Amino acid sequence: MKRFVCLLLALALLPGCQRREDTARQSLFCMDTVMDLQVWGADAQAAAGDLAALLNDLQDQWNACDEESLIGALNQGTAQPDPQQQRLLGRVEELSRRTGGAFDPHLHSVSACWGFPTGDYRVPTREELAEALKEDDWDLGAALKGYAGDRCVELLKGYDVDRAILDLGGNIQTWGEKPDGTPWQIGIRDPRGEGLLGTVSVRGTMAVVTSGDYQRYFEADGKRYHHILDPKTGYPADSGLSAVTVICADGLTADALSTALFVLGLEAGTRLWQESGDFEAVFVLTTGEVFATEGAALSGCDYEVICRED
Amino acid sequence: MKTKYWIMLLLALALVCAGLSWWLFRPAEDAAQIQVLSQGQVLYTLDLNTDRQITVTTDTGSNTISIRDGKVAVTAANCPDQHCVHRGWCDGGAQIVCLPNRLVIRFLGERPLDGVSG
Repeated sequence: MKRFVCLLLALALLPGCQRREDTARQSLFCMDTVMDLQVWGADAQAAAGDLAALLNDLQDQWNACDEESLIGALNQGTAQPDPQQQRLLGRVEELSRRTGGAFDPHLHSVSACWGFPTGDYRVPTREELAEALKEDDWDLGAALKGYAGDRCVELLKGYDVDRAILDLGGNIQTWGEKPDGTPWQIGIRDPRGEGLLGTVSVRGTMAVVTSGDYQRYFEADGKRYHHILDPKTGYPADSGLSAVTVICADGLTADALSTALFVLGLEAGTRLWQESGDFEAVFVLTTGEVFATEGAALSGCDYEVICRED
Repeated sequence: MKTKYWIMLLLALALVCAGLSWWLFRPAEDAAQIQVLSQGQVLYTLDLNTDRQITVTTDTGSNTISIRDGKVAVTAANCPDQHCVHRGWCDGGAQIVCLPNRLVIRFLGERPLDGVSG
């Protein structure tokens, strides 16, 4: 009897022994945006600190506005990239080719004409844009946060951590699985309001990246000019879309493709998806209509599914 | 008889222990709370159910944060773009950010979402 009581007592105390998971949450201003890092696991604190350091390093290397940075020196021809940097530049060029130039890593001068890098906004003349389009200065702004997500994932693999969710200024990078086995639920911001458009479910390591006309823009003479520039004209892309979200296991690809699909529009964007097998996408039209590829796992809103052609 | 009495007592104790450990180690349910961060550091954790107004002034700028009827808004700021003020009254969703002043207001609590892309 006594033994039974002891057992009962031990059982009653068991819930108290449950391991409380270590978590770390860090917020930082980096790459001209705000980032929110959440990491779970024994090494969470150390990993979060090192992630922040890595992100700051990447910003210092690839800030095209800073002439002292690596990319600044590359543009002036005073530095040579190391093999890892060379690999990144090669992959970025490859993504530009894959999207028929809709993603263009050489738009620094064009973007500067509009004042997007500095915030001194103005509408440039056609001649100015034509001149700027001839320049081929590197500017990885449209893909850097995605690449940063990939580098963060690489770094996390070296730590004793269970899972992480990194909000790199609206680029969501997931890593690992949730303990209850359910997929990560990532909301997509409504481009025409402060609420949510819907939610996508993803598993494991995935990047969910959105390009939208609401993210950075200015108004002049009653007209709205957003920051996603069409490499063909130098003007803000006008393809009938207000936002595109790309879901892809590779962050750099997700970031470059979200920009490219925004420039291409729904039809050409759908064709690119048909030719590919490595990403899913959600398109939001300026009319408010939503289209999602069949693997996008979008819920919470009405939308038309884009299917694979046989 | 005496044994039975002890068993009852121990059982009661066990129950109390079980209840206590459940209470102490329950997952933090901090719904309807916000955190105010400046330059990445948490300055305040505030209850959305208590109306109040605070002004956060740092060397990067000044923002007045108001809590009313379970919602929060930046009601005044000295930043050039005023994006934080235009966001209006919110009770959840993506964090409120004032980029020029390095200020973030994030929502705590049970999050049906793991992140927001946009």
